[in-house]
Amino acid sequence: MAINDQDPDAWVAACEAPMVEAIGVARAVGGLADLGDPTAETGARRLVWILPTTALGGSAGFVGVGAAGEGIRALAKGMARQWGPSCTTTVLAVSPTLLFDGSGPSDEWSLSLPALGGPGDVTTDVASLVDLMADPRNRFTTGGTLVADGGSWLAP
Amino acid sequence: MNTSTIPSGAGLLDGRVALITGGGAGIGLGLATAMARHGAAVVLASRRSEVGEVAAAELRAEGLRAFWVRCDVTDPAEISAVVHSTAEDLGRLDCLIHNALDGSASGPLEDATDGDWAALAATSVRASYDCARIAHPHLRATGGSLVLLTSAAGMEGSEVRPLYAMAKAAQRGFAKGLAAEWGPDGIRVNCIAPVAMTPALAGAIHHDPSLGERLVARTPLGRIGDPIDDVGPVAVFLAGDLSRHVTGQTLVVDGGGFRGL
Repeated sequence: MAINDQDPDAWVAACEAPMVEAIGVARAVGGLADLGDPTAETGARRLVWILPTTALGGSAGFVGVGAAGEGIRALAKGMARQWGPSCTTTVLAVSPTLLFDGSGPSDEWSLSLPALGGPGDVTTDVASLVDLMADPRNRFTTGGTLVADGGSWLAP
Repeated sequence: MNTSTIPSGAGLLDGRVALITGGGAGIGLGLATAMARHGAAVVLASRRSEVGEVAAAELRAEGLRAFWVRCDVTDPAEISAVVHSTAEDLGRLDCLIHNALDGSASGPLEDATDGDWAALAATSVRASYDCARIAHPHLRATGGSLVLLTSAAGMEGSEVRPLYAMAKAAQRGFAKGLAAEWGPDGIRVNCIAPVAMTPALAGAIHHDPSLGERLVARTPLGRIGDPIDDVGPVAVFLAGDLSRHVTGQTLVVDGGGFRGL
């Protein structure tokens, strides 16, 4: 919805509410009695955020979604710095098609086709990356954004 | 004595009208001063008359066109009043810079209150939404420019001010999306991420001298910027025709301290 057609309630639903929810999630994880022991077999705790790539490039009609996404990415970076090795956190940026059921923003960022085709499959392509992020051997990745959209978004 | 490196009458913004929220002091006043010296009529929109009135009077004493109007950006009615009165009284609106921000709580997330976030969100994200919607018809009429003030903290995250970083990042995301949406209307939307010696930063350095030393140490150009002469020209650029094909971008103006884009 164009921002000029978006009343304050719709704006809150698209932008502000997701950020408030994200703050709540971060507080809940940070408030756990034992954030995690990076030296234990299970390793540190992991917090993985799933966002549309809209957060990276912005899309007409989805200004609030993009704003919230960038805000949550910054929150993840701040939490990564605050939590250190006790809880790592990573953003997975996926094709908007997977999150918006066809009613979302375009993921056609480039004049080129997605390098691996798109938009990917939640079970085989995205869930496996969540597994990877959660693996105890993954203990040196935090605060970053991993783009899992089949190679559409290739900017830094 | 005016030691500015910006020559008065340079004229890159002759005949243009700019509205700057939070324009009564600090970065906002620096941007307004630079734009006025380039020929723009500037409206300083801020809450405190004892600051904003004086700032506008000082600019007028320099021979510049500057006005102060009270505006609390958490109130859409006040934003609407200042935007529409600016366009009506000065004949047009070419550039709106949303710089105002309230809420600078520092510390880890668990120490931040819901009120801290509410103040930040109201003056950053929500005010960006309100300013944009209200200014849209005027900016469309002039092929104008919307500029939001953000921060490198929004790009690299902050464990000291996580919610501030979140709010500033959200404004940057807002600008990217709105640039795509408003491009067909001929309106450009960009961000400036500055570090400059404002009264607030000077106060913080007075309280903690090592802060100034650390800031300079991470800055390749070796000094903290000046709001008028270092950050101001970027606002002049984004408000004027020189940037007519630039939109959706963030210009980091910090002497090279942040180089992550």
